[in-house]
Amino acid sequence: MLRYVLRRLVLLVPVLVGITALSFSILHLAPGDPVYVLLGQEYTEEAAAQLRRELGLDRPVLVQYVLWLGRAVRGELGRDLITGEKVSAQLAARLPTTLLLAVTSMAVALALGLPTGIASAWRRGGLVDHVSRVVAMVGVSVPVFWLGMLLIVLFSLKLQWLPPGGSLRDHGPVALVLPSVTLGLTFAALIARITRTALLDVLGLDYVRTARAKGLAEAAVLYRHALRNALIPIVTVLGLQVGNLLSGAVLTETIFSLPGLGRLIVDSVLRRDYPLLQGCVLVTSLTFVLVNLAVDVLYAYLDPRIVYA
Amino acid sequence: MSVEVASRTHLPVRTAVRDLRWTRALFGQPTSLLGLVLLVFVVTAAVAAPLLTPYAQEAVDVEARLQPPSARHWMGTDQFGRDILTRVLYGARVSLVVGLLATALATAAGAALGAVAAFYGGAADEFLMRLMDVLLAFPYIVLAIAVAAVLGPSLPNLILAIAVIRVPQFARVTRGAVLSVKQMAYVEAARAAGASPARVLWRHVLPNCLNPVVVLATLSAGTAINAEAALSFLGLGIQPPASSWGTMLADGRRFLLDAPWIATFPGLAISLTVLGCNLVGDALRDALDPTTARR
Repeated sequence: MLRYVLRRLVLLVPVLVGITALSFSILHLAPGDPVYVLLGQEYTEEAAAQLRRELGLDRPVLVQYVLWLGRAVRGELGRDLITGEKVSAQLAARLPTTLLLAVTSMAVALALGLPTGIASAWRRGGLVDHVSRVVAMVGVSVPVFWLGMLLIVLFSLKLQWLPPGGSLRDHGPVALVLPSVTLGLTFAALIARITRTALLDVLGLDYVRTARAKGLAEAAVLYRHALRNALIPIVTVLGLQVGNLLSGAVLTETIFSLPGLGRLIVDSVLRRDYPLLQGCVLVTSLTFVLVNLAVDVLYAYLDPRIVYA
Repeated sequence: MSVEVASRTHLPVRTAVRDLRWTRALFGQPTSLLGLVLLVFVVTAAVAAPLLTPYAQEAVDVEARLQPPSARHWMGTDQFGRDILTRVLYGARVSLVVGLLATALATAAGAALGAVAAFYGGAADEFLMRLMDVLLAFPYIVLAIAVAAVLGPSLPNLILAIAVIRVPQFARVTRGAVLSVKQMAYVEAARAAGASPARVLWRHVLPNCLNPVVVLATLSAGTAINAEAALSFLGLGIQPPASSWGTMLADGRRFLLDAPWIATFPGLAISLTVLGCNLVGDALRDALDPTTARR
C-alpha cells in the first residue's frame, strides 16, 4: 500500500507539469493584455514596452514557463500584477476558506443525503422514497447561486439570523453556515439519489438474503452488510464531484462575498493576472489529484478485495 | 419482453416496439408529463415572446423603476424600469439556444470521439479516454473560464465553452455503447458481407447506440442551461447590453432586500427549465436504458 501511494505521488509530477504548462500557454495565447490593464489611462507604446520588459512578458512563452517552474519548485510563485502582493501569501490566505467550505458542505451533504438515500431504499416506494425523490430532483435542478440568494433573503434579510456574507475573519464560523448549506444541499440531492440506487442494487443480492435468513436484525443487515458494499459507488461518485465542488465553490463564494480560492480564480481571469491565475491553477490541480489519490486509497479500505501492488 | 428480444435480433435498426417505449416513457408517467409541459412552456415563451408582451426587451422606463409585481408589470420591473416578465420571456431564447446548440455540439464531438475510440481500440482508445478523464475531472467552471478567456466572451464562444465541458460524458457513454454493440452477431454479419469499417460503424453500430446518447443529451441540455446561467452570472458569459437569466440574477443580487422579485423570477425560470430537462431525461433513461430499467 505504501509503495502504491509513493508511486502515485511520483506520477503526480508529470501531471502537474502538464497541467501548468497547458494553462500557461492558454493564458498567453489569450487575447487581452495585462499591461493594458495595468497602465490604464497612462498607456503609451513605450511605457507598455518597458513594463513588459520589467515583468519579463517580452520573452518567449517557453522561457517564461521554465523560469516560472524553476521558481515554483522553490515555493516562489511570484507577485500578482495588480497589487504586487506575493501570490503564495494570497493563496495561503484564501485556500483555508475554500477547503473549509468544501469540508463543511460535504458534511452537510452527507448528513442529509445518506440517511435520506438509506430510508428511500429501505422502504422503497414508500412515502419517504417518493418525497425524497421529488425533493432530490428539484435539488439537482435549482442553480446553486439562486439557492444561495433565496437563503440570504430568508435567513439574513427577513429573519436576520445569519450574516448575508463576508469573510471568516470578520464574522467567525457563522460566515460559513449559509455557504455550506447552499453548496451542501445541491450535493445532498445527488448523494441521496446515488445511495438509493447503490443500496437497491446490493439489497437484491444473495448474501443479503443469507444475512436475513440467518436471523440478523434488519438494522444489522442494512448497516453492516448492505451499506458497506454500497459505499463503493458512493465514494466513486463523490470523488468525481471534486471538480464540481470547486465550481460550486466559485459560485457560492461569489454569492456570499466569501474571499476564497474560487473567487480568486475568477478575479484573476477577469484581470488577466497571469502569475496569480497560474498559482491558482497549481493549487487547484494539486488538490484535485491528491483527493483522487485519497479516493483510491479509500477503496482499498472499504473493499478488502481491492489490493494495490 | 420476449417480443422485444425477438424484434431486436431480426430488426436491428428501428422497430415499432422501440417507438412504443419512447411514447410510453414520455407520456406514461405524471413526472415525465410534467417535464414535457415545462419544456413546451419554455419553448412557447422563447418563440412567441414578442406576441406575449407589449414591452420591448430593453425598453427603459425610469418612471417605473423597481416596481413590485402589479397588473401592468406581472413580475415587476428592474432598476432601469425594464419589465421583468418581458426579459424572462426573451431570456428563454438565450437559454434554449445555448442549451440546444451546446448539447448538439457536445453530442456530435463526444459521440464521434467515443465511437472512434471504441471501434478502433488500441492506442487511440487509450489516449482519447485518458484525455477525456482529465477533462471530466477538471472543475467545469475553470475550464469554461479558460475557453472563454482564450476566445473572448461572446454567444458563440459561450456555446463552444459549454460544449467542450460536456464532450467527455458523451465520449464515455458512446464508447461504452459501441463496445457492447460491436460484439453483436449482426455487426459481424455486416462485416462478413464485405461492408467497409466506416459503413459498419455508421450504418450498423451507431444507430444501435442511440438510446444512451439520447438520454444523456436530454439531461445535458439542463446542465448546459445551468452552466450558461452560472457563467453569465459571474460576468463571463452573455455580456451587457445583451442579457440572459444569468445576468438578470446578477442584477437582482444587488437588490435582494428592496426588490427581491428581480432575482426571483429568472431563478424560477432557470430552475423550472432545468427541472423539465431532468424529468424528461430521467423518464427516458428508465425506459430506454436496460441497466436502470428494473429500478
